Amino acid sequence: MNSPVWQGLMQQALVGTQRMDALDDAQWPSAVQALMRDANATLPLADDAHAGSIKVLRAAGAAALWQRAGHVPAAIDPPLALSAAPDDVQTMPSDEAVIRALNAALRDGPESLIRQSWHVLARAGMRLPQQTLPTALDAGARNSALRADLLGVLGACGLWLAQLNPAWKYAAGTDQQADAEQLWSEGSFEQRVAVLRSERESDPRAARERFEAAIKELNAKERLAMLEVLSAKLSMDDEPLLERLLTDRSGDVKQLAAELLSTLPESAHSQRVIAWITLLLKRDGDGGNWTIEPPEKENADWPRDGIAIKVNGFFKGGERAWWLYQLVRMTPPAWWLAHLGMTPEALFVWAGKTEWKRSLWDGLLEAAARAPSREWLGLLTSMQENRLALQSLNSLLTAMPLSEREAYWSTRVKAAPRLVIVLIRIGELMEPGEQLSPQLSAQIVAALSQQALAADSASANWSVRHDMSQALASAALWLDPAALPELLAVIDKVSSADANQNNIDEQWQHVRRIADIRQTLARASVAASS
Amino acid sequence: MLTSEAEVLGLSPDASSTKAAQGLKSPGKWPTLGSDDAAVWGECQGSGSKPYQTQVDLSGPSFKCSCPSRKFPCKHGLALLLLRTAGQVAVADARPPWVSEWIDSRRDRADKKEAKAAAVAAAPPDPEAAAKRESKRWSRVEGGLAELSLWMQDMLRQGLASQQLDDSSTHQAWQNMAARLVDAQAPGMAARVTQLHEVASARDDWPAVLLAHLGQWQLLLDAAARREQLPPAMRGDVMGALGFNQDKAEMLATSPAVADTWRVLGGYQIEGQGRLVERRMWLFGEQTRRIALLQDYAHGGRGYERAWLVGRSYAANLHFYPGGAPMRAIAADASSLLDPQSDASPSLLAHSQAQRSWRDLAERLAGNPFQPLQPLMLQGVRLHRAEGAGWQAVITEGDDNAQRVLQLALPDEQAWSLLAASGGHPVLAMGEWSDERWRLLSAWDVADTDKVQPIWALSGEMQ
Repeated sequence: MNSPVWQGLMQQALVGTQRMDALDDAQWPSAVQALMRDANATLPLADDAHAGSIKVLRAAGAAALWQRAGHVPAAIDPPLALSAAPDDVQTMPSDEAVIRALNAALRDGPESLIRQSWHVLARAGMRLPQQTLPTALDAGARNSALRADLLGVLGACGLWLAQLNPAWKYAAGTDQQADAEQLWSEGSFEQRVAVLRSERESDPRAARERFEAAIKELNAKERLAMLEVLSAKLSMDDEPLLERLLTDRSGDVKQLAAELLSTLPESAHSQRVIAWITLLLKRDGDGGNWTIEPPEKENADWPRDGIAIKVNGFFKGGERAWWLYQLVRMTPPAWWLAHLGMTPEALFVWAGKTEWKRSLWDGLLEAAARAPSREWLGLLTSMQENRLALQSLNSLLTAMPLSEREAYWSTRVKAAPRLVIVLIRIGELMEPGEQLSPQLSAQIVAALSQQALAADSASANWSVRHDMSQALASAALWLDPAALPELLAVIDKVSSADANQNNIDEQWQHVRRIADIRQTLARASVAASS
Repeated sequence: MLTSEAEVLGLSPDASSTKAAQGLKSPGKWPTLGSDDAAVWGECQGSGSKPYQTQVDLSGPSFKCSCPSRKFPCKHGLALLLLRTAGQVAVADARPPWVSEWIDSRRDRADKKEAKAAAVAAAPPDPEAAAKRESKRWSRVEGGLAELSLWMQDMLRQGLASQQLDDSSTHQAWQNMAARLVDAQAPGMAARVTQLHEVASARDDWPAVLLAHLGQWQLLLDAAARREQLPPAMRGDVMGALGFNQDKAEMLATSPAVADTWRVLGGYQIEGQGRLVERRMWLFGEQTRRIALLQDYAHGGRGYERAWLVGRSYAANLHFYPGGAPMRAIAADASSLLDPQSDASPSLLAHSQAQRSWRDLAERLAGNPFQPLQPLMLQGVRLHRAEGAGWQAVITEGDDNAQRVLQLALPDEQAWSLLAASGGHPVLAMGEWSDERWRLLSAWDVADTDKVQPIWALSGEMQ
């Protein structure tokens, strides 16, 4: 709307006809002049005061209509260089039900279900449907835990899209199909971490050297994340690098380097800490009881090895207890067993009898979490009520291969007084790429149908019921998909007999939804492998 | 026939109903379930002691439920259809009495409606009485239009620059004007006043938008003043624009049926004042090559009796409102959804060539200059986010591949979803064109001209 006719009208309309009345139509096309004159002659005009306004309005109406009818979109010169997504190697799922299940997982969560659904898709060699990409990218923007799995299913189209939206920059890397070198040099941070992680798996030394070469260009957060990757397959070969990182600019990186060194009993760092701890241990008489006394005063060398002198605000206890706790948490746990000649159980009994029980237990449990050893399994299983013990148990189980972990769970399912707690624990430890074996799945369903469930579901106690729904959700998430119909049959039986049904209806629905989604997704993996 | 979950959910009045219905689709929640060719029914355990009786007449589909929900259809009705779609409702030998009573009463009503339409067709209402009614209405409408005219003149006298559209007292003045027009039985004009305030107050170029509309209102006022001299079609358009409603039964009886395979191009729902929801669906006749606009209103969370699914075709008889460029229509009850087809739609492709599209639009405007909303279909459309200017459609056309640009009215998240669906490749896009903004409603993949399929459709909370 920028013709001279329109501009003239606009000026008049803006200023107002009481101040700017003369309607100069001399510059209008003659056909238009005639039309307007006819209109104003044949149609009634209001009194004099308003005649000018009506004339302006009639002219504007005619002009606006002409503009509408004759609209031609503006040309762009020079033309825009618009990009399109490159062709994709990965295909999209074509099964409507699978697409619906993927969307339902993304919409209703939980996080592990979302990640699991993407794993299934990636294993089938497929990518997310294009329509799902914005929601998935938004989810990744909100929750960074989803990002690594998302990268595997974005496809070329998703990566292309991510580049266009600043909010999705985290995913704007290079083609996931590219080789490792290209991903490392051009990829997003998540992609680089993924390269490092997979290299650490196959060639720990190469991964270390790759990280070392990049340290200078990485910021503190990135250094920390990559150092965490190195905690897998840690060996004495990594010691020199970790020693150097004890003087890193970032406190978090220093702390992590010290913790990693503490898991290497042979490291110079471990030897230094052991030397400090040894000074604190005494033996009554010849072969008598061990006693321990915290340090009397601080040592200026401690901070370099990751032991803070100033008491942390969260710590309940005095300065000396704090120093003791920290020395213990930095000592390789195996050293205690060897030096005191005790089993973990005996060690805990002994520590529990000392005046410094809390410092010793907490420190030992934290150290054990970092250096998982099967010797501790029995003790940690018996101490699950303790938060730190549970953490240690989890890290020990995580370090086990799935088959060994399953053997452990199998005995727990048999022995457990509270099946729901075991199920919750299992859920906490499963990785999105895993699922329980058919054997263990069948064992769990059988146990569920026999015990616990009926009693728990009838319970009016809110927390018991909450645990139960969490446990069933965990079962629905991690059981072998072939065992799900039977799980649902159990649930149907219990929920139909449930007097409080309406109160926890949402919870039953939640479990059913998860099972539905997983059963549908299982079809995608079957379709891909056939 | 509704065969897929997406089609059933197309009937849902809002996202929360969709979610609630999904949660009810397990047979365990339904102590009784049954169906036959014409209906499906079930009892669903709710929070009360007595289960809700839910029933759907599949010919509509139409819904009835004894639950207290004000939503229509309610979650129970939707869930019942979802169960049926999933094959979880068995065929029953006999209907329970509560179902047969309702179905029979519906049949009775439908018969009565048909009889009424037949009566209208056989004996048009007394023309003298009708003329008397109409002239009485006109005298009230004229009173309202005279007030509007004075208000417009005042605005022009004082100058549009003095309009503070975002000011609450100005807003009140516009609302008062709209209310007076409703009182004067010119609801169509009232809606124009309300909408102009909404559109203009959100635009940087508001003075131009304001002047363009006020100018066109003046043309409408002039046309109304000399209505006796206008040709009947234009007179109909003027009355339609002011809000004279034609009786639906009368329309069905008097306007000839246009039978065709109608493809749904796109649709939009917009919530207005007082929770009144307007739904617009745009259809394209495969043989007649006509564009039809189906306009429905639903109140307070109530949905619509019939879903129109974007991209799908219906065998339907449409009855067009008469006018200079007839576009608005109503569908006869017996419209049926056809199986998905991947036909070439050569006419759809032809009508989306830029030159043709703009000419069609100009012709429709020439036929009825009082229609502010125009359908627009274009090929070779790509999306572009211009820094500071929002989303634009870039259209590549002609032998020299010249680029032209149209400003879009498209919410950010919808734009991203369209961009994802197209992968940046050119698409055929359909939308509503008004005030030099293009509200996209659907996008179609035309890379393979034998298989023109929608890849994206505008969806919102209301869909």
